[in-house]
Amino acid sequence: MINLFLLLVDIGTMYGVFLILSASMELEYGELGIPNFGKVMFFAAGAFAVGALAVRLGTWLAGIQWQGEFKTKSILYSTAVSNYFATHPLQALLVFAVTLVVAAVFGAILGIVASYPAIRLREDYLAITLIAAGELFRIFGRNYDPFIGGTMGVGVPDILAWMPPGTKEAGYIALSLSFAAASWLILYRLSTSPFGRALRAIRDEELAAATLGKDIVKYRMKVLALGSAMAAVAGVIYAYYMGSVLADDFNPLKTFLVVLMVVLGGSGNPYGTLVGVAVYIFLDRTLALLKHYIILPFDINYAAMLFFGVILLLVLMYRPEGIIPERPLLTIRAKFCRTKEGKLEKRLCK
Amino acid sequence: MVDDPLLRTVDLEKHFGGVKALDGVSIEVEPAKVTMLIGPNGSGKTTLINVVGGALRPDGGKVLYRDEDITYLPPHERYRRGIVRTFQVPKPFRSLSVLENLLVASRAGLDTSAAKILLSTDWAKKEEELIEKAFRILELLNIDHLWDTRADQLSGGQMKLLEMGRALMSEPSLLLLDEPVAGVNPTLAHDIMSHIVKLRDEIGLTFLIVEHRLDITLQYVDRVYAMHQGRVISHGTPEEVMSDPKVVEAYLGD
Repeated sequence: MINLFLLLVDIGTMYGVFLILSASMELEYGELGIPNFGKVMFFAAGAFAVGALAVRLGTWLAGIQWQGEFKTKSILYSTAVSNYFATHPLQALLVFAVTLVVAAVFGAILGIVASYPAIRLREDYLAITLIAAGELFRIFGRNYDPFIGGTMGVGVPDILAWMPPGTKEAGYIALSLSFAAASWLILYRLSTSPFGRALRAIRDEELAAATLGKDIVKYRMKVLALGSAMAAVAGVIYAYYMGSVLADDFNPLKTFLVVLMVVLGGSGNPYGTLVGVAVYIFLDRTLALLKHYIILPFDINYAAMLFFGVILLLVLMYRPEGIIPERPLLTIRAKFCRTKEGKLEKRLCK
Repeated sequence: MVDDPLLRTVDLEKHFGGVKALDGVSIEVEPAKVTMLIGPNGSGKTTLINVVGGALRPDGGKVLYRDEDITYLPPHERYRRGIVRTFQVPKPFRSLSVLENLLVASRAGLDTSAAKILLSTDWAKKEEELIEKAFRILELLNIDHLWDTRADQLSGGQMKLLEMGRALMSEPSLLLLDEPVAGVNPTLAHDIMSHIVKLRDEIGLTFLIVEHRLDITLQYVDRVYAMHQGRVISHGTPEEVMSDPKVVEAYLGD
């Protein structure tokens, strides 16, 4: 039987992780128009940073002597570190904080590196370059064992092991959703500010924006750095929640799921991401449950992908603007309203 | 006594494949004057605006602004120095409202720092002032009732006015206008030209204008450069240039 509590924990935590990813995609693609098809690389950057650092830092703090290969022993030692964390919450939070900062900085640096092709390449070539870069990063992780355990993956200690049994899961939801809320608020605040307006101007008419004083190179660099740092934070939370990091988990499909969420919800509107992620997670979990009851003549896991492919096509064909379409966002809309004659009046509406 | 020119081009060259769009073009734009470029289609006027505005790099020659060499500066650096242009085919920020289109052009720099926006609300106060300023410009151009309309919903003429509005919002010292009154009804076209003259007289704004509708515009301008096949064939006051046989021939000949 399905454990309803664990199902909700899973839905809540994954909603948070994908909301962070979608918010960063919305900032880069929806607002500035950079098709970041390498999103999974920055997500992986955060997860790989946790994979490479958390268990090492943990054993060092716990004073555990490491014997044997990293690749074969990391799962074992991460369990030992989890046991240590169960009685040492401060050390657990320290490991979390250090990996979080390292991951965000690493993500931002990768984002700045990625902004170089983003400045020089046209959209489609940029997309190809970023997909390939993401794959390179995954293949590096898969083949260089001392980094994150290669094909075996790496164990990640449980940073919430010190919480009482039963509340730990709620702790992961809270962690995930609070970072998601912060990411979304950053997106919303920027989107409804002069900064977001400049991004949209660049997206709509690059040359006109440059003529009106916008340094396009700088904007792309800033947005990719911020968006990539956000994606890396999503990777950190994902890694701790899953309890392990496996390089092959970070395939290009993850990027396209995020694209699906942003397009489905409505790119160019921050509210779109909230809805797009919710719809995706709901459908995905429903399908995962239905898999137990429906028998198909092929591997049932492909059915979900077929289904999402069809949804993406239908959205692009019949509602390309998404569920919640973009609209002009007045930065201080509340204070300016239209009168009956269509004139703008200050402080008419509440 | 003639003032030092605000803008000078020196022997500008620009080729597109085998076509010489600019073939040694040297012009001078005096401060607080309206200078106009005329010439048949394909004579190189828009190319010259593109080179001066920074959208194109010339193959040879120089662009000097207040005696500084700006030939290879990117457009946003020219904006910082006070050079702003409009486009022949309007380039509105199509998903933004008319008001927002104007706000983008503001020189206040509220949009440069994401950190400042995230960490304080100081920008909102300044933004209100900018909105009021933007409205004065919209009223002047008679499109204030469209403030909340998405720019891609405007008519061609309204888009022209929006371009003009953005340029004014940016407080330029040199405005490059590529066909500012094309597609605008004659009454409004005269209004725009009178307003250009007013800006010249009142705040000493300098204009370099490309325009085909000589019937409307010639009476408002101070200096004219006539171009033909990438060269300047005549320059002087409107009367001098229009009575120059070379200019007449360029327009009527093949």
